[in-house]
Amino acid sequence: MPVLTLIIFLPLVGAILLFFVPGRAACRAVALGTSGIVLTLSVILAVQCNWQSGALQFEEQIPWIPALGASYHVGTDGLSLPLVLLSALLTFLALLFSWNQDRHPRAFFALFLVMETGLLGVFSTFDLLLFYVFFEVSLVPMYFIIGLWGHERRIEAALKFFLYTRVGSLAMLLSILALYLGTAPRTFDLMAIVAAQPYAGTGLGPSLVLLGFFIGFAIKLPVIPFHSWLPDAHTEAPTAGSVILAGVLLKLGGYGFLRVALPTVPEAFGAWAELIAALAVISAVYGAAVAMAQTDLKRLVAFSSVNHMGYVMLGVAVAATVWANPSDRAAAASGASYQLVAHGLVTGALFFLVGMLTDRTETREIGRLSGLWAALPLYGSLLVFTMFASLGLPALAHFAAEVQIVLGTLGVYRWAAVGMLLGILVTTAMFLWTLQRVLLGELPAEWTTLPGLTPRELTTMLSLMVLIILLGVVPGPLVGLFEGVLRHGPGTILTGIKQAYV
Amino acid sequence: MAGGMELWAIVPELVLAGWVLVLLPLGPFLPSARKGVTTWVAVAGLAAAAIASARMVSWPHQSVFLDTYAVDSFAVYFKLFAITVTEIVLLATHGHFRGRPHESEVPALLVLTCLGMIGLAASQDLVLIALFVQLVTVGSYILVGIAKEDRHATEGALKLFLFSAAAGAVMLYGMSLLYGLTGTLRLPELALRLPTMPPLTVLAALGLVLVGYGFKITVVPFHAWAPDTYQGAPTPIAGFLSVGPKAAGLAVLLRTLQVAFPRDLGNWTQDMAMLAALTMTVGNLFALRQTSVKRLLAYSSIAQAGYLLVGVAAATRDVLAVPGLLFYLVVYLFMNLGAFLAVDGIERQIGTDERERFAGVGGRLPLSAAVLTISLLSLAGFPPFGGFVGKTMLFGAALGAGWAWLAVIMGMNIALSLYYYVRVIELLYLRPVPERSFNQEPTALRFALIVLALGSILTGAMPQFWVTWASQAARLLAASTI
Repeated sequence: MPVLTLIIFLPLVGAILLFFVPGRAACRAVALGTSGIVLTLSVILAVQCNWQSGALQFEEQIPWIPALGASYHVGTDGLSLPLVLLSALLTFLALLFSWNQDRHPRAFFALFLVMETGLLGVFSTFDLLLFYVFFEVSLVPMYFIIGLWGHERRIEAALKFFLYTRVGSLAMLLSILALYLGTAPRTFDLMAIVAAQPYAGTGLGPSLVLLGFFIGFAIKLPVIPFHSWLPDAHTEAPTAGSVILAGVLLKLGGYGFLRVALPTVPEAFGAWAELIAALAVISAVYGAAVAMAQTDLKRLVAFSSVNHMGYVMLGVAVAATVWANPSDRAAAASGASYQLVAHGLVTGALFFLVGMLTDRTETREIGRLSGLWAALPLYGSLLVFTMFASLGLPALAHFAAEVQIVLGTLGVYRWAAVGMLLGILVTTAMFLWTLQRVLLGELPAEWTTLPGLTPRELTTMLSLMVLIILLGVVPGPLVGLFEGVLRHGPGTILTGIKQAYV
Repeated sequence: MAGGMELWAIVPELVLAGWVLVLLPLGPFLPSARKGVTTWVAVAGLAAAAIASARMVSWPHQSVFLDTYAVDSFAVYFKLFAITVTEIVLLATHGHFRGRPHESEVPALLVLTCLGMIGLAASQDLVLIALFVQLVTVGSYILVGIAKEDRHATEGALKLFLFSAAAGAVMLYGMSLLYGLTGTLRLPELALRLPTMPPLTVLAALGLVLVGYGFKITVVPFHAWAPDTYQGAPTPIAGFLSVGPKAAGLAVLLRTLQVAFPRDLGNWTQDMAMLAALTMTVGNLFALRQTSVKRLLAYSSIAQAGYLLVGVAAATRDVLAVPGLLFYLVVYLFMNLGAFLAVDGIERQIGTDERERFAGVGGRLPLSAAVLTISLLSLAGFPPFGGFVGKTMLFGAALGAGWAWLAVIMGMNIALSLYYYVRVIELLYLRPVPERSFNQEPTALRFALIVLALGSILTGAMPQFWVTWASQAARLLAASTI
């Protein structure tokens, strides 16, 4: 049974179905049911998957546009499987969180489901044209989600998000086409392109192809100086939208670097790696420092994403450094992949928490919030836990990721490792100071009787918490999954890194 | 080169010509409430012509009427294209002109213009080309000005007339130069004789002929008539002009360049690439500032002509170019006509095409708004709509031809165009819904809108059929040059 195809397109079917059922309750049931089935199927997929092999599994390939050498080629491996699970989980939780959505619930749920199809598709396709299609399909629904259900400045934020990402994806399309034209016979199949290596070397051509990919993925990730869409979009989006934006959409950038850019232009990437590492470190430190200066809690969380994605970029840059020790490169690549998953869970949880708070206090001004631990003890504890996870407390998810990146970087770019540690330090200060301002201090009289967390909110948070702890305490299986890809890889995912395991 | 009276080869043309002769006198005999019947008669005639054309799909290339008229897959492709455009526009004019003066003449004129477009795509003789260009133009300006009571329509028709007269005269001058040089008007014979002629004169003649073609295709700098004419014309007619004559102009341009002109003449491919870059950039830059949606679509269709020209420029340099162009034209039919007809549906309810008045219409006219959104996203090149596959093929053609700069300019243009397209979408959906209720679109228009939206989606999700057909038509055109 083509289970992967089923997983990818079931949300789309659900979205269409939504327009044929009457009433809000039925819509809700269809939307939640669909994403629940998708989540279940993804878990089944993960269980059936061979975690050691690292090879491409559940592969399906049928001709799509043979005249152009494009096929419907999907499959999953250790790099894509965790991200498929993450997308399915966060979409399900986001829809669960939006249970009481009362403004146009039908359209709201439908857009989320269409976006889920796009996201699942990106993470499981091995045809570059199809990759581009899914990459863009996830863009339009998010425009409407921000623009229709967002906060005060939603329309500008939505437009900015749309235009930025579009510029990036067009640059990426040019690079994809260059790879397509350079391969004989012309094909969009990633495996065939990686095998043929049409843009080997470090000349002008490979550098331009790298530039296209870099613009595309660095805007999505985002890395300085391409980040300015992010704070606006994340802040103005409705809670469920912010969760998907930060939790999954940013991952497209990191995944694109690892899956597409590294294997197709390895030498050019290596030649520019040091510069990219420098950008990554600046991004990480800048993100943390600017987050500290924010007065809006949601904007603060948004900027902390710039910080975390800086580490991903650093890991990718180290992995791309051709001359470095293969085991350092492998550690950095594995750390970057781990960071993608960890950030999805932790920042998803943070945006949920901010959303719960604004639902109650109706403000996100840090200056106005204080003493909330007294009013909402359980909520306060959850916020402490999640922010500690985000600043990289040992035994929680981010720690496992960042340790691998730092260790990998130390052997390659010592200065970058120092810069990264500085970034972590600023993040720590930033989150501790935020906790102090929001949770401690005097509680304003108007907030003494805030309603406690509902069971739905608690379920959402607990499921994320369990995973955050699990990934922190037992990093072995997930690291093993990434190692499997690096060691055997479909094709040569990271050229040269394989040697580390030989 | 037999006989010269191969009537079997022009059955579709004969059917259409006969139908025009029936339609024109039919109108006055109908009672005023029944004038709409002419639309359905025209639809039937076009369907008959389509069936006659479809029979010719697999015919091998041949030249008839003393080598002046081509019967090949390329021509058939454009026959079916022109007929489809006209059929769909008829569905929209049916409601648009109901009860207005000259209601019964519109279908006849549309069929007549369709005949001109079909002839243009198949002609391989300069006199025939000039003749059919005039036929298309005459039909167009009557259609634009047929709403005599509207000052803007009259202004649009006058502009179209003056520009076409000037452009047509320059084109004829170029053709006479070619005749003076070679003593022949037939494209295949020109191909044999032009290589020995002084290249500079040949280039000059080519340039002059291009003025006439460029006017039809709205190539910058011969585009200035389009915004005024499209804005003044009845909206379905503006949609018709932006798709039909433009496609016919591209067909004749491609045939002339492919068949008659030597490949190494001057640097014409390079010049054409620069013209493409100029056209798309000017179109997009001017579209940014438009507050009238019809003017915006007019400039957008100038920009689209720029993308299409990429296919013409790269025609001899990369195998993707001509199939890409032919494929893009089909998609362009669906998305551009979809946009114009959806604007027609909205404009009829709110009484204006001012952009700001489109605010919140998405909540009141869901079908028109949805089709407009799909069409605009497709024009902006978003998957899974057809515009994406077409643009990808043209991108590939530009890169394959060695023009990375052109591909980058095209990419920047597409990114820029998203801004004005999305501003319309934003108005439709993200603004408060107006209080007053609207009437639904007429049934025929609804049907046309659904067909066009499905076309945009199917050409994007399952493009294989069209890509194959376009490749075949392109191969046959290439074969006819030998």
